[in-house]
Amino acid sequence: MRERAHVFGSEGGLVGVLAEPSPAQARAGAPAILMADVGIQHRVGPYRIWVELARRLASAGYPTLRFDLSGLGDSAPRRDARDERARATVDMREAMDFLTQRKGVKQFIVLGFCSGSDSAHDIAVGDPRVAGMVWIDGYAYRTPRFERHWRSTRFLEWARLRVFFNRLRERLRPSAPARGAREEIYTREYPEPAQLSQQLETLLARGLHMLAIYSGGADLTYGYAEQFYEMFPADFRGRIDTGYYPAADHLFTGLPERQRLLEQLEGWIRQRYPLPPAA
Amino acid sequence: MNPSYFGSAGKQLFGMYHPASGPQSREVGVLLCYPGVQEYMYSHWAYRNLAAQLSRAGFHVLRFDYYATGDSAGDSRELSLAQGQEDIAAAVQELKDVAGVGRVSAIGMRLGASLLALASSSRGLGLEDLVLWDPVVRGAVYVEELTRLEAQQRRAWRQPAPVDPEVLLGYPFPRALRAELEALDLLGLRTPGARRAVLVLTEDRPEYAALAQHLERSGSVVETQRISAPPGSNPTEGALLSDRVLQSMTAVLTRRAA
Repeated sequence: MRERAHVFGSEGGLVGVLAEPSPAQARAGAPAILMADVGIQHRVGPYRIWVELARRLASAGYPTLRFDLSGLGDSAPRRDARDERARATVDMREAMDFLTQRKGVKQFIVLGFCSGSDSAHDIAVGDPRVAGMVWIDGYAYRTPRFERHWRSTRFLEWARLRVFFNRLRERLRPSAPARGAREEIYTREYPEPAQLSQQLETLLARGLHMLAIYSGGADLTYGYAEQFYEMFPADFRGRIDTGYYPAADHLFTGLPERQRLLEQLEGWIRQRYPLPPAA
Repeated sequence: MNPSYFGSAGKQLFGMYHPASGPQSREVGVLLCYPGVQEYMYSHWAYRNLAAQLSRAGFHVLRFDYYATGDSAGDSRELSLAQGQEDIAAAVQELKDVAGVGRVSAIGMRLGASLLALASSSRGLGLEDLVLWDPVVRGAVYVEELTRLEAQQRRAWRQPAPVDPEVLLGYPFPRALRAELEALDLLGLRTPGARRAVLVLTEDRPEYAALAQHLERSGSVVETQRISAPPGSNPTEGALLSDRVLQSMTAVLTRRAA
């Protein structure tokens, strides 16, 4: 496995690190995996998760590019005036173009955390080179079972109370984290479930494989392992793979949960994208 | 921007070089040393901004990841203070080579300041100015503070204790690293290794006065700059988000290089 830093993109402003298999491990036709920033955390990922995953995958034969979206991490801001979501899509496309031109890669697996999942979904829908997609705390819709089990109205009331007490605690002890505050500071645009369901059907018909993972950090909208299959009009059981880590927070701070996540990610990629034997 | 790997074959370090970009190149390099891993995640953006400010002020800047952190080689469980000091020495040489400068100053924050002071003292780096931003003076206190912060976070997330002693705030924390940190005491440094030291302080800690006196007694000319963090914020996060701190450091080095 070897790593090299690159600057790429149409404006020469995107910075990334490409982890590649050693020549003896390289396999023709191996898909490349793309990972980008998680919130404001740069390309190494929370707790270096992208570095660790990239090295595992590269050692297994999959080139992996971790890079900073424009204006984040070490990458320069774009000179055009696109909104954040459109910029992320263009950045991802340019990352794919870079690997296609430089390394001849023809297929990609895109990984996204939280709003990064939204961008991963956008690029998958728009670019047939995307053969695989992983969401971590991606789109989630409450289901009747979620509402019953978690008593949504009373839960939301409790969540509001929790926000109030967290804010009070924050004022008294600034270093204590305010868990409920995240619902106030972060919003995402959600497509309608029917529309998203149709897009997923189109992707699957194209041959894309998908893995959707949810953590305990998504507990305001996702609360049980099977919820993904009950969120959509279509039945995706057996067609989309899932994972659920209720003990993990949104960033997978806990080391055991993070290790299990890495194992699932690596295992899924190896299983869904088996590589030909070495020549 | 100029990202690259440097250093020895088995221990490649990731570095980001910012050449001097202002109207006047000062022919002085500035090395930026990140804080410890538990504070690295949210320091990256501040360091990028600091590097850009220093570059515009005419300095050649290198920021880098220690071995076993960030994009550098090494598993996170291999982290060590001794290696961190070796990495600083390698980074000083890399900056001299890539920028073609003979004079280098350095800025370290928190544990990065401590590693810088240790490396400067023990390895004869020949630094012009040593800027120590909220340095960790006693490693045992640092470990205790991080442990307390972890306990607070676990309570906030309603996670059970006891915790794994070899994990700290989500990162591997090997016993050997704990031992190194508990033995760390900047008041035990024999020589500062730089002619001039600047303490940039956003917190009020009693050990900072003792450190300033110790550095002076050891032969450094010491300047102390106190800067208040934005009100109502966690002191460390406030310092990282505060442009006042970054501008102060740029101003200090600019004044000294004139």
